[in-house]
Amino acid sequence: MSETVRHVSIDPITRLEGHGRIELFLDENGGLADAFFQIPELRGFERFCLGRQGEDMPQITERICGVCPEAHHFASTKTLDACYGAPPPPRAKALRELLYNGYIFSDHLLHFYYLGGPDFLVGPYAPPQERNIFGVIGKVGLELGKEVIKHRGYGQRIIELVGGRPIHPVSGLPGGQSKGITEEERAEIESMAASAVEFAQATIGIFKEKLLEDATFVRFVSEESLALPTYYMGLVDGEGAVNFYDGKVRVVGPDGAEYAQVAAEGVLELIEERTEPWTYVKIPYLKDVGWSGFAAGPDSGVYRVGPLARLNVCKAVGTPRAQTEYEAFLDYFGGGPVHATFAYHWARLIEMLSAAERTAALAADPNLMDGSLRAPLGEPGEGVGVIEAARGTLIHHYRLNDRGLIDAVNLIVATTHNVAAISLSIKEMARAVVQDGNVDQGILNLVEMSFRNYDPCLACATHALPGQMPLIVDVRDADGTVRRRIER
Amino acid sequence: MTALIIGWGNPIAGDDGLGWKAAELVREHVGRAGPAEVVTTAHGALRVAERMLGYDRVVVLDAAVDAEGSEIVRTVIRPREIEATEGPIGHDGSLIDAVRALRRLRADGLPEEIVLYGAPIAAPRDWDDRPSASMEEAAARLARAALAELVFGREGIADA
Repeated sequence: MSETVRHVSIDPITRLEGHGRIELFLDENGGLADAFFQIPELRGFERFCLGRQGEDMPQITERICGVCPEAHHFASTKTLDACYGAPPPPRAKALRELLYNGYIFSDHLLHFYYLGGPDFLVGPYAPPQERNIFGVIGKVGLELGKEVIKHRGYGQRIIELVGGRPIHPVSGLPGGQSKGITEEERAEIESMAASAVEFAQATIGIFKEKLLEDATFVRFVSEESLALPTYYMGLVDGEGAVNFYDGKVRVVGPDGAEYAQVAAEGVLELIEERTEPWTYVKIPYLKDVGWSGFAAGPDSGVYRVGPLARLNVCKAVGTPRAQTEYEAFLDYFGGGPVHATFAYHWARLIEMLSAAERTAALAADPNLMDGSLRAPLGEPGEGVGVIEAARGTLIHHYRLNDRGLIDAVNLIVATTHNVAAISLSIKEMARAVVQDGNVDQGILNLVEMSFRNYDPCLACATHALPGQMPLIVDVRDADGTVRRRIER
Repeated sequence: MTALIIGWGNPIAGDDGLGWKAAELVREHVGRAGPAEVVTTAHGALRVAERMLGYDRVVVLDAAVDAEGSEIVRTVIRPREIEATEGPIGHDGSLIDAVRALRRLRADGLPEEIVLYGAPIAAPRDWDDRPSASMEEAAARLARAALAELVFGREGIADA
């Protein structure tokens, strides 16, 4: 490192799941020299799974994360379907998808009202203690609070009814589901889903009223320097519409043209994983485009996943109200693909509405109540399962031996796909706001906001919602001594 | 009065699974039709706090990363007094934040009292689906504490 570079460290990052660290390096003029996003924890999860029964994997992998166990549960179940050559019968598929859309709705709701949305609902320059759910309630009204709790509860109730338990579902089995639901349960889900649709629509109304009228947010979604023209990846169904549970993996380029569309087993042919000495996380990129460093553009294999990516790879959203909102989204930006990183927030709410609508439609699906719950299993082998977690494409890949025991495991989680893009977004925001060595709390929150767009989940295992995790910022002189420390 | 016992931890993260293990011991003892509902979870604090809604009294069994010594630590959160509540258990900051969030959201059905029992551990180990030998014993003590406190109606830590 140059002697004239100073070092700013943000560790840990607040209001995200798990542990991460942002490193900012300042040049001699106090501007930004470089920025990196680190995941300093080594988990070794894949090794832990070796030698275990394949059918245990949905219960094991869902404990990787205290936030989105449903995503791992069904990514794992789908992988076992593939390993045993046993696609689930229509009833089992409908049940899985029903639970899964309930999870997407609930998780996106969490992000908007608790994690990322408060940045703008309250204002990025508000004191840190106000940039949380309390500040949101203060801004939009107390009655909303009860609606947030009620609808979070609806999402969890759907998971409980279909998944067998309110936490850590147990219903997914290779080739199907362990249980169905009763007519009373179906009717309850239908009623909750109808309410969820209205709540999601109302939340989009709040977004438009509060954020699209907010000068800072408008600046951030409009400023070209904060946009990343990357490739995008996501699942689409046979009509090219967004599908969280199943479909083909579609990748489009920065110009929106299709780069690839493959079935789950083909996705690993598209990507290569790269290691860097400063982080334990592997950094995937599009193999045939190649690695050109941390850069966007058509010649860089960096790609993004998650809500914005899904809306960029799809031809439609697939549900009527969300489709209307999707078209308004495209109109706002003058068409797609939309590269504005801060548009992730808007895309997430459109998906929240779509998930609620899809839940309502599935609750009325005749496949839900009749038919077989499991397909016969073939011989164990190798399989890949792909699902769209709330944060983006989640890939499980297992190889079972002839006794059904795990011989090999590889997991590529949503935040991993986004690591290169997160580093780029942090760098662009820091370049825009860090000047003359000024790194006060307001500026640091802006840098964190660029990170929170992605709703990153680094948890891997535990159960901390780090609402009050300390934020420590060290500003170091060229010789490495701490010249200034900021804590909150 | 409705009561809930929550075993909080990750059962595949070594000693971090202590609370989970303790809750399973409680469940074995009281059965599914016992005087308290028993659940286990590795979820984040907000979902744990949401799970408490509708119960009068909640006992949380957990590993206490930050606690000193080897004694079980008992901390009481009274949601109505949440602003003044502090405690040494590793996850308590996050749980208090979550309870406070629900209070500010005017959640109905927050418990009158949340009792956290934490058994100190050095640090969660890497992936392992069994607590260490010393933690097996600590899990039994946690389970006894929960039973004494909630099921038999007296503060459990003295008997644990």
